[in-house]
Amino acid sequence: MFEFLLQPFTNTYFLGNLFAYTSILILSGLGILVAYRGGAFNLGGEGQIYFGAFVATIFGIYIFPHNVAVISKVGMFFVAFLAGGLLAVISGYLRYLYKISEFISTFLIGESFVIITNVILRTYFHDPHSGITATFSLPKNFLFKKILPPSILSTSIFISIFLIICVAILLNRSIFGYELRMFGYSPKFAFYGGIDLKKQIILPLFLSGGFLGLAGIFGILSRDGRFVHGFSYGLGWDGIVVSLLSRGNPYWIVPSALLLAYIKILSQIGGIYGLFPSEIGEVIKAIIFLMVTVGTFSYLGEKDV
Amino acid sequence: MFELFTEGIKVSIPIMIAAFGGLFGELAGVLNIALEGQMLVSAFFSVYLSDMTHSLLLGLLGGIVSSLLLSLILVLFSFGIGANIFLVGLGINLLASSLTRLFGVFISGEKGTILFSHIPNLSDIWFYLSLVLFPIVYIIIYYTRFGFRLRAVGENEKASMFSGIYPGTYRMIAILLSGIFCGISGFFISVPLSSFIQNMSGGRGWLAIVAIFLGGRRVFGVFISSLFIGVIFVFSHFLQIVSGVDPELSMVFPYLASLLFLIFYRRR
Repeated sequence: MFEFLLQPFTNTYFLGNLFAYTSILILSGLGILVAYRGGAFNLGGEGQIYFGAFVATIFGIYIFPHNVAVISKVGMFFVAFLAGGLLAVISGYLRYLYKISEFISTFLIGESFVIITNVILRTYFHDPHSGITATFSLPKNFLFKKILPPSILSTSIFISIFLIICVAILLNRSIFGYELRMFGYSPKFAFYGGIDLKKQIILPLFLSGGFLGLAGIFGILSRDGRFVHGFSYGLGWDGIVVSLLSRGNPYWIVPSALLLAYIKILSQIGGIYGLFPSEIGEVIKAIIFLMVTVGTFSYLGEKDV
Repeated sequence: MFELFTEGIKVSIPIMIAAFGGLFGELAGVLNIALEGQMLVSAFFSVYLSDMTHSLLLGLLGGIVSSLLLSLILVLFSFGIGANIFLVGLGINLLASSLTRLFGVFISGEKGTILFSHIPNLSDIWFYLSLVLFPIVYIIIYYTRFGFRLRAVGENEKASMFSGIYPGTYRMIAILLSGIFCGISGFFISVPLSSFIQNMSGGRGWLAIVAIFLGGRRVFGVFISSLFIGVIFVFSHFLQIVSGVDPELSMVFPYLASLLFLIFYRRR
């Protein structure tokens, strides 16, 4: 039993995958966290990850130049950020204009965009020669460089950690971050303090969706190199668990992401060796999700001014 | 065309029952978004137990109990511990979808569809019997003391508190009632097909919420609007087969419709 629990650390393949999942989970958790600190809640992560990654992949394949990898890569990050962010901004506007809680609207928009993306993928961008439902492959030079070769661990983990530090500084040490947190703690106080409501409702959601889109494109560039149907399965929900576990502190995202990645790898190992069905991992995550809801966000869903 | 209509009624019955369940919560001022998960769990257990015991009634009972257990968790977390009810509801949806998948693997060793062969035939009478729920819900909500107090809690929390009605109690009961109703509706999802498919509730819990808003939070309105949704649902399937659009596209319908009705409801 003990040996089994240590497996992810003794085997380089599993160790590499553990950190690779961590790096994607960090981004996804960061996305939810930014919204949370801004007093919003983003449950549409699944859709933003999926849609952002899809749009960016399509841009990478058909529009950006294939020979200048750096420019195209940065362009793809930008597109993914924008696509994910815009999906979340719809919910921001709905909250601002009609006072519809972003709790429900982000979820509904996210779920429908997962389906819409699948339909677009299958009808227009499907690679007919591939056995799975997927787009054509991106050029090989677009992918992140692998660090531990059999595993999918890549240089993206450094970018993820860099982004954590950026977000921490932005949130805790800047005027923008102060306004964002103030609105997050108490919308009324922020309003009477002269803060632009529209900006404070919409901007955190935009950033949040943006980070989630980024998580999606990172997932693609570090693993398959093309958009595969259902590649993000559950990543958005895992991001919520990560950010709830971190209780709003950007640095605590790292251990929480590690924990979730560890559960995921363990359930994979169990599935591979036939110890138990790998579905147990999902159940455990759902239980953790329920447990971390306690004590957080009981104030959310309050009426805006 | 007539078959399309009767088929529509059959599709709308699970939505209608779940919507009745959700209506109790909505009238008491708590929107229960775990309807989807409760339906799913009940769909699994009712078909499994009907298969094991060869009895539809026991299957129905098992479905109700399983769904009630989930709503009990919801009550425990949101009222007992004070967690946000939306988040807990979503957590329960996640739990339901992962648990049913796990149990499916345990039972059959397969991950996709599970077929059950020993289920007694479900005659149409069951569907008509379920329509009895409409007058029952109508009477409970409009003609009993419980119904009056339930609506009072949703209408004005403070006023009901000052007149000695504790809102939390009524909300808890409303959520538990929605558990029972979703248990019945899950039975009508899986047993007619005598099989269980992963996530087979397919957004019908959300359609139930649409039906609540579309029906203007009235029992009769919910009744009519869920019939309407069922017919529309079948009709969109029909159009899809005729026009040859990707079959997955119809799955967007519950989510987008819920969103649109939320917007229209809030604008009024």
